[in-house]
Amino acid sequence: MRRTAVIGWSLVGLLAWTVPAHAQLSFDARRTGMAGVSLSRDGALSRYNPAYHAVPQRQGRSAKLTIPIPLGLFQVLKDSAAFDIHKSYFNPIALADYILHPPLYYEIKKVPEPTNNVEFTIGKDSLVVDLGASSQLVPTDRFSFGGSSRLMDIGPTIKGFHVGVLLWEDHEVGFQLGDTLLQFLRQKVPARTNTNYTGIGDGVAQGGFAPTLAYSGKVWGDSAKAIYVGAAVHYYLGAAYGSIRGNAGITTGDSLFTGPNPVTPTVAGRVQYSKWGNSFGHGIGSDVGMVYTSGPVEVGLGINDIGATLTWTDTRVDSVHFDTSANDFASQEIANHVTTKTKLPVTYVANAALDLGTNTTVGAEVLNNGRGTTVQLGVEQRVGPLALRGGVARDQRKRVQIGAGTGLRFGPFSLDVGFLTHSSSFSNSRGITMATSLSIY
Amino acid sequence: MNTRVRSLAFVLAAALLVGCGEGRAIFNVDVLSFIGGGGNDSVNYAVPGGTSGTVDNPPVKVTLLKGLGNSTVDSVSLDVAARVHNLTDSGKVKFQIFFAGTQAGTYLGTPYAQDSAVLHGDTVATLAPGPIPVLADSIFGKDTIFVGVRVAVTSLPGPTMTGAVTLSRVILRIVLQDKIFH
Repeated sequence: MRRTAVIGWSLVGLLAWTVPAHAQLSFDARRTGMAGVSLSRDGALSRYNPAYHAVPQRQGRSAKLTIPIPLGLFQVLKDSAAFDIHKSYFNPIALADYILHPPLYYEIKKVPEPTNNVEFTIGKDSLVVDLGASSQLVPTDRFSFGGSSRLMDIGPTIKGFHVGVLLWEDHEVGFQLGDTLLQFLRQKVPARTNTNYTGIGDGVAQGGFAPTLAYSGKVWGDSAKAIYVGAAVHYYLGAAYGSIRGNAGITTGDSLFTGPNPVTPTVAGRVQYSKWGNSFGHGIGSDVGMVYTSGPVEVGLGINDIGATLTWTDTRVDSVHFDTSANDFASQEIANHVTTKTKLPVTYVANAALDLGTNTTVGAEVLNNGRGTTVQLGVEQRVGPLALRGGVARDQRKRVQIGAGTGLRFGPFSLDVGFLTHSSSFSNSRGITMATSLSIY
Repeated sequence: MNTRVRSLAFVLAAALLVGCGEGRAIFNVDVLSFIGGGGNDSVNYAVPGGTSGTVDNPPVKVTLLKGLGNSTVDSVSLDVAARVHNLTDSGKVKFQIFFAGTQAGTYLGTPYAQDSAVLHGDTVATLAPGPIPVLADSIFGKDTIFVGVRVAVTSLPGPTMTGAVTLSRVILRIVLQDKIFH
């Protein structure tokens, strides 16, 4: 039963593994060893730069199939006792960290999880919380995570022209604690009477499909020097969406634990949604990209979802609040069948690669998915069947990460291992992931 | 009361979310702040000479935190002190403090702490058993507990012995293995 739950959580984590995670961790250990840089013109390059659909794969670099070796799942199964909510050592932070950093690969250095004592000093009119070292986990700025995915793109491509339908989804959740709540949790400031302790939060999730017309091809040059361009127009049809924005917390009364005035829950939110079955949301977005290759040099630039604003004509808007008399949440319709709009974040990727001619290739990639920018630099040195890799990256949290790896090629197969530091957790400390994969060329 | 406690539990659960794990949740509860006011922290006595008697104050409800009722109590210690002001006559004054999960059961068990002093005439004394380790007791894992103070007086033969016992410190330190996710 426990193992089933753990596997379930792992699957949830994998499903949640969209844009934020891919920037640092790939299914391909070769990329992991170069801090996320792709030298084989796949990954983020082909995802965000439509011109790469026309660029030939690099000789000997592009695998037909790369299979991750998920050693991390065994590690999770081994540690599964920590996720038994009935145990005193259950740690929700560890669970949340697995969602932020899905445990596909083995963690050779786990991010330390807080296990310190939490001390409460309680009096009739006083309350102080001392979280100890864990107080550093309380986010001082807006904390959010999200991503956009194109889950599937079905359709034929003939002479560079592509007609198809893609499935897409976009989600983001964020919150920010108010000053009084932040001071209470982080700085051991005593709780005060008649004070608001709240935070603001927001979330949006939307998904649907998009008939797509795209072109990618070489517009100039030959096999030695060429310019490739790509463009796509998507007619986004939104099947459903929901969003919430508001604040939640409590307002203390004349006394914290006694007295006639109770502490009042404060929840005020605005919920907007268009359910499955309502009229589709619709909007047009476009992707453009170009790649220039000249012998050992390659540069590219791609932009996704330009102008992708969806109009939803059958939206219901509710206000949500906490009804203190009923001691439960209550909602009230503000409007129905109204028009609202949502946006898909614009994403851009810029990259460069240089083959130094000594079996050495260096690459760089800058990716901004509307939720932060990652910068990655990587190098690969081939020595016979052996490949040595290294890289450095600045992640979305603006923290520097280091990658290193190696691979062994034997015939049409290669076994690769990559090590990468990461900060995909609540902690400020880094973990180190060991990615392993098998590629077939 | 439920709304109030649940709301506070909301904040404290958030605190526990970022701070639990193998660590403990430690509650330093100033019980006296709940008892105090309205004379609840004092017990007056008047015992005829040559007799003995006890005076109990009405049990006072102390709110801990809702949602922690399933927690396992790791350890409890009690730090208690009282001031006795004897006004007339002489005798022995003993004060006892009780905790229970129900109001009716407050004085049915054995006291958690007690101390006594022999007093003569108009004098003041401090009764302070000091920090007392209490065996892990499940009642301290409950959302609410009741506290009671009993004063037992044995007066010497003579006039009625009168005075008052006033609590000056009642602090519970409860260490829990938190299980707020049950």
